[in-house]
Amino acid sequence: MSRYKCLSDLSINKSAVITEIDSDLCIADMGFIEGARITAAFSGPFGDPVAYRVNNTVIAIRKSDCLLIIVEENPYEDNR
Amino acid sequence: MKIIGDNIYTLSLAGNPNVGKSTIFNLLTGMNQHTGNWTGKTVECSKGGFTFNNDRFEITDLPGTYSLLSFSKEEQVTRDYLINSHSDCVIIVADANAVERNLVFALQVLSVCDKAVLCLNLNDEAERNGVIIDENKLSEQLGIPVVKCCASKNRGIKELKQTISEVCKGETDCRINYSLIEGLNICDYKLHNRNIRELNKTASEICDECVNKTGIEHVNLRTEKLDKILTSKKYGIPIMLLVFGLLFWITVVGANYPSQWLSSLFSFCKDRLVYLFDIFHTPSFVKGIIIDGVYTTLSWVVSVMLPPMAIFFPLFSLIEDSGYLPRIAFNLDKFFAKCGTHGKQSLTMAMGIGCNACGVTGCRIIENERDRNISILTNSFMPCNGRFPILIAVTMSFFAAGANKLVASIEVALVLLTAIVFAVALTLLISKVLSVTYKGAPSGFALELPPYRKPQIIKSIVRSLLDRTVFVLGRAVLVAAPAGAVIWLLANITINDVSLLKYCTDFFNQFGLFIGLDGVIVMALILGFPANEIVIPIILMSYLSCSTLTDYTGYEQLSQILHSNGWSAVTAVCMLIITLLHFPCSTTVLTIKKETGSFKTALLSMAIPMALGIILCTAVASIARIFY
Repeated sequence: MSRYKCLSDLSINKSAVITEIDSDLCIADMGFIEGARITAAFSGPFGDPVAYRVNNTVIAIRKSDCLLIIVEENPYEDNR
Repeated sequence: MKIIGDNIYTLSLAGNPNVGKSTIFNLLTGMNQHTGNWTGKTVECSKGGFTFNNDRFEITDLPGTYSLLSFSKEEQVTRDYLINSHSDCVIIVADANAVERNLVFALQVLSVCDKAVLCLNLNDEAERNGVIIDENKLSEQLGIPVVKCCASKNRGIKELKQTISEVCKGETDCRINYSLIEGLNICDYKLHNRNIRELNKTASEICDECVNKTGIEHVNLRTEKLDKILTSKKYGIPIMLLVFGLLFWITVVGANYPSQWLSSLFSFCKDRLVYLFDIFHTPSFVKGIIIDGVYTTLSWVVSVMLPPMAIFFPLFSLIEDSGYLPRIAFNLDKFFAKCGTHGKQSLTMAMGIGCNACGVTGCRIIENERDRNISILTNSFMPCNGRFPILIAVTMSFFAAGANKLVASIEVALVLLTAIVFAVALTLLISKVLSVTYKGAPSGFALELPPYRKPQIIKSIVRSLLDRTVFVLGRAVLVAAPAGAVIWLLANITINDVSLLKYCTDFFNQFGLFIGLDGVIVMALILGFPANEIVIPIILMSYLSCSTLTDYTGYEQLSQILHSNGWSAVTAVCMLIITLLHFPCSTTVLTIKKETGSFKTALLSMAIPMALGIILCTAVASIARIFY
């Protein structure tokens, strides 16, 4: 199974590295750039949006906005 | 005699959102600018100053932005200001817990200024989390002085002032290391992609050298644990409702005694005033207009409106400062997404609860114009602090009269909570309708959830009282005085034995009764356009104008007056509805005109709630008429 997936498919408490992202998005300014380590921290009461931790900052993004962000899962660096 | 300083220096304060920039601004200037632990709190440029060693320093607090590279209006404002203002020194405030991201911003700022100081705020928290920054190395690398601060504990501010002074006077060298930002032109949109990549790489390299992290990535455990509960499926929304319910309950319970105490005070003073006027044989016309008109209205406004405001605003500020507000936006975002609007709208709605005009200004945090307009138009559905006391007064005197005091207060809190939930639901509905009619694509949603931080309780309360309570009350008083005079004149000038007031209320009476209210209420709402705080006093003055004016002694008295003037439970319900849904106050309308630049939008902002209010009230009244 490919380790590359949509950010929206990243399960809670799993970590990954961003491999593809449109840098024109405003979240690029918040640290969402290629090569950044990202962890899915927790989700809202309805499963959407999801709060992601990047570079010691927690940012909430809607699932529909995650579709364009591709990440590579890093199973050896998962959250406790 | 004060020695006036020799020099005046201009400073700019820039930084990412949520780094405590405004706290630093407050500490430097001694002002009480609004802070709050959530993104986008500062939407205007505040100005202040301080004196140090006989020199004067004037600071401009710029809105927090994540970068200067993007196209949003706020970033443009900050970028243009930094480039064009030629400050003597730029103070870059950074979060010591997120140095890398903040350095990306700092580097952008350095590319357009000559002198700067980097302030590493929230340093205590960082060190507790195992992040130790070598400020000397960092200073060497960047070429500017670096000062560690902990604004919440007032640490490092003196050193910061000292360093700023030295930089401005040239006593400390500021040799910005331009090799780090070679080729960076923050105004060039085409290179945005490359710029971000390069900056992140550079920032990362600097961090590797200067920041010592124990552990791969520290996680704010306490915040994470709390968040897992506060946003969980089971507890997230119930806890939200509980928090607001409690907030209203404390306001209602706490406001009652100060209200009575204040009105006793005013009553006491009034007797002295009457005595004084009598000594000078003041004509009864003057006595009437000043004591029965102006003074009575003022005393009503202060004794009824001030206590709830003095409790609600500070408590709400504590919630803001803790960092809980973004979680509310986070929990509710699903609803906003379904209605095609921006999640940050819930934050502007929260601001609107304090004051609708502030909520409208706060809509600047929404970058997309279409979403911003929708937020502005629906903001007045949220009852502001001028309208809350109306809701409280009507509820207390109608739905909780007598009975157990505790039960009554819980009932009132529940009614207020229902009112808020209703207002939120309506906002979502109307937003959905507007999002269909407004052209344009919905924007993306990215909300930072800052760590929970213990609010500085005393400071927060004092600041809130001075900033909001006094300000809002002051405005109400300014409006109440002339309004009181006007009402007295209307009530006491008669044509053919009927007072002008009666003519006015009769004019509106047909219409009023049809929609479930009466002429007096309609007129009061119209006259209350400058400030909602005077609506209840006007209603009371109108009802009592035929008999001797009494002072406010409690909700039982209010209940009596309303009942004896034809109020029924239906009237009370319609009053609650129309309070939530009528045109915003004049300050808000003017603010809307200013923010959107559109007269049409300002008019729409009045028409939409008005129309909804009339329709709903008519519906309720008609249904009641059918069944009774």
